[in-house]
Amino acid sequence: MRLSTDEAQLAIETFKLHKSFNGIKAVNDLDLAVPAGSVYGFLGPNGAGKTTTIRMLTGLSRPDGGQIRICGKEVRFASISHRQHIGFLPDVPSFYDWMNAEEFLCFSGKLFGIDSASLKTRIRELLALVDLSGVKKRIGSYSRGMKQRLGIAQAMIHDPGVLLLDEPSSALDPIGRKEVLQIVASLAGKTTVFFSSHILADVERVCDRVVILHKGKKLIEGTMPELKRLAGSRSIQMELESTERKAEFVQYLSALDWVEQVQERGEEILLGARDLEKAQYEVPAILSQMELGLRKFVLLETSLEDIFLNAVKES
Amino acid sequence: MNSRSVGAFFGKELMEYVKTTKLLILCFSFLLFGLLSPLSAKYINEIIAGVGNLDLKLPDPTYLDAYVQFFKNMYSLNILIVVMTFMGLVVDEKVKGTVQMTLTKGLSRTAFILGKFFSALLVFSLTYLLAVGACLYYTYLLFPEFINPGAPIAFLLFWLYGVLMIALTLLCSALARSHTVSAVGSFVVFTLIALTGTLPRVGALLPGYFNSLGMELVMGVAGAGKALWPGAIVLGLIGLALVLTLIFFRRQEL
Repeated sequence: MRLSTDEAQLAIETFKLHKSFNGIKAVNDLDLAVPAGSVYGFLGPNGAGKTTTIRMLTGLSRPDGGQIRICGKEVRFASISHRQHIGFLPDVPSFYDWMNAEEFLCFSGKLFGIDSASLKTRIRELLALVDLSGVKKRIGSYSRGMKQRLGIAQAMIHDPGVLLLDEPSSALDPIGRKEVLQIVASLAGKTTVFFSSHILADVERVCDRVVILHKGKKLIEGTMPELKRLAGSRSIQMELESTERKAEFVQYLSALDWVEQVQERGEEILLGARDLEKAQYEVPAILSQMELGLRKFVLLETSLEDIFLNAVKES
Repeated sequence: MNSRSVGAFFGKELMEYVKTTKLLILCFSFLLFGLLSPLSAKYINEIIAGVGNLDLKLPDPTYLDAYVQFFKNMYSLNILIVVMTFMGLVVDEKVKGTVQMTLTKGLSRTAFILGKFFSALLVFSLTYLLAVGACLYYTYLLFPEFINPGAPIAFLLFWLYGVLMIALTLLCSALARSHTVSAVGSFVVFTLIALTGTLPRVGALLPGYFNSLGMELVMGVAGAGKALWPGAIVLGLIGLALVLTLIFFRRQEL
């Protein structure tokens, strides 16, 4: 067994996980280490292997090789021993359309052997969380957003250690997306959320740790600040109160050793720094020393989109 | 596997028959043919006379005709309705995706298949009982006698035949990834099983023989002993179909 034995720290571990379809590697020696309690963004373009990975994590699909462990339990294909620890929302959640939300949650809870009294309380809590309290109509008449919210509730019915959400916001309209993301954000710290998506903005908004997958391979992984540092977020955008001494200021900055480059863009000055932290406290000091007023000082952050595109381009 | 999850799934299956039109269709078709068999047997001459210019007069009907008609209907039309009703058992959940929701919870694949089989069995048995009850009652009402020593075995044989068709349909449904494949597979199996009775030499040992054996038992031209071999083979086939379904389904990626 090569997987870590530190069960308390890692909610999901995979080691050299791989799977091919007709000779094409859908998942290629994937090593994952998802910290417990994190909202873990599993990011990749369509066809990157996200759904295949999640299906192997659930035990619905058989890996060609490698190991999976969830909450310390080894995941085996078609086995039920690990299921107590996972809650799963597929990319297109399907329900028994003739049931209503409460009936489906009751059915889901009973499949986990939850007793009726606890189940009643849990259903009430979850319906309130996903804003479906009092909705009595059949699931068949639900909107996609409602189905997705119910999907999250059913995945949480047994209070699992890990929530596997496969593209939970991808097919929704802006309102539905916002609602789902709010629910996911509210789960941070309470449970481990494995959030698969190809929508960068969604991942950036709710995830505290991200892995980027491309052609079944892990390209890059880290917390959002780590990724931004790695991607080289080293720019400051400034605008002086007066443009009269702008040239002097630019010339002064250009001579400094921690400055990479200085560009003038209209009234704005774009400062590229080798050491961003130094720039953050040196620039205000220089301005004060030169008695220059400042109208704008913005630390330009690298977006996840930049990181993603760079990672995919370099792969 | 815990009993609560198995019970919940079995309950869901039964409720699904009620909430969808499946139970209604089965009740209607079994009741209809249960009633029509003695009625059509009793009034066959009136029906022929009503058709028009047919110069045909059949012998006066007896209660035996009611039973013969009943088994003709059951082995041709009703069994087809049974196959059509149950051929979506597993494939329907695979196509819709509900199987992924169910089998990532605390229900094993074995419990899933057995839950499907036994709920279908219960629904089939209850609706078939309706047909038998209707047939017996109307035969009793329409004919001077209705008790037949061969009828109980003949009724039982059709039930067994129905169970076999459910088990084979379940197998096709579990193997298939689309409704079309499941339907084609089920109809092929249905036809092959029905044709086994016509095979020379071995036909009388195979399930297809039930079709004519039911009528022979009622007519008194065959004894119950003739049901032993095909009965044993049907039981064996039911067991084999279930084992194969479990093996294939447990290996299948969903």
